[in-house]
Amino acid sequence: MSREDTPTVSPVSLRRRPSRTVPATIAAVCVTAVGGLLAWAAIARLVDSRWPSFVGWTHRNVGDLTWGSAAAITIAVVLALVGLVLLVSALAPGKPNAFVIDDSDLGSDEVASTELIMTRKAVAKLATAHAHQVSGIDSVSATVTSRAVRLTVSSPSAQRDDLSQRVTAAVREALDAVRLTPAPQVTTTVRTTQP
Amino acid sequence: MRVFSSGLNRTWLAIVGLVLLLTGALATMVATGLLTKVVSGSARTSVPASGDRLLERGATDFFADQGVIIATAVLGVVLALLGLAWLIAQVPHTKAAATLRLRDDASMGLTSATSAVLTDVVVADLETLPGVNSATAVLRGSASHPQLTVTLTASDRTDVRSLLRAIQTGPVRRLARSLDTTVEHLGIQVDVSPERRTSDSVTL
Repeated sequence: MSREDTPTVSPVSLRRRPSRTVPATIAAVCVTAVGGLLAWAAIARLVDSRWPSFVGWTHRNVGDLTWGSAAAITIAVVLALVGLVLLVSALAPGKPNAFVIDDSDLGSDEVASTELIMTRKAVAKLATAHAHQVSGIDSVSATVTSRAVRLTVSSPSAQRDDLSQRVTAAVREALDAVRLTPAPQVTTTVRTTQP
Repeated sequence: MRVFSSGLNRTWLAIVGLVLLLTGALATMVATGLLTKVVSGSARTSVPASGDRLLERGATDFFADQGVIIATAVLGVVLALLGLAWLIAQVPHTKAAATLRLRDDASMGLTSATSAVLTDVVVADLETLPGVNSATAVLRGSASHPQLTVTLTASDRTDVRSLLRAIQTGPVRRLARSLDTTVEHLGIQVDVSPERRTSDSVTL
């Protein structure tokens, strides 16, 4: 069976960094609002031969301020700070949403390239589940960063060090079996509860 | 699974941020009188003094000009359209393939299949695998260069690597054979959910 030979497209990456949707949405709304107001004011001036009332209000309340006034300095500083925040949010890389799973021995003749990932949330759930399987654990919570898994377990046992080692070993074994890259560092903190 | 406009957001945030930062910094330097100390010569005379108004009378005359008003209207419309396009780009999309055209001899007719039909089959196939609680799939690209993206929720007791191997040798292989080609790119996102547990009590 033959088919149309369309050009290949670049694959969509599953492992991604934050897309900055919140600051982008706020900035896009502001740009749209400023553009809309400018267009409205100018078109109203062309059609009615006078500026809309909000232009007069802006002129009276902002245009009449002196450069040295506290209000003008505040507006200038706020403008610079907002710009700085937007610039930092654009340039800061952010944490990736997932770990890559090593696919070196998972190849297949039917697949040209693969991208296998496990989300940080999934790693936390997997770590929590395997920590729960250790005897003597009441509750577990896990925090996963891009390079580490930090577990906090509650137990009535006073053998904190022993329990910490057993939980760390169990979780590390489970994560090693998945072969995440980079392999996260596992640490466990034990909190003793009243039996 | 969905595609977000990350690159677009970063580019426009950097542009808007830089414009605001430079404007704000320049205005702060003017307002605090710092700029008059920095610049020298004829440029110093054009810097507003701290007692000057933000909009001098000349500004009113400037905006009375017909050409300036038209330019302002055009600038406003362009800004509004750019902002609107940026806002619309925030809606995540799947970029799923359109109808895949599988062509035999043209005189014998054309065969086509929607990507949704194929992904439904792949999902049904995935959900029969042991350890898979649920799955979704998106087929991108074309019939000759298919790209499959799978999001699956596995039980927390599942051997993930065995499951990934089973996916490639099962549902993905069957998809490739049905399209009579290799899958150009396979993306699998593994999520985890707790094993369904049953509780009971035993009295000794």
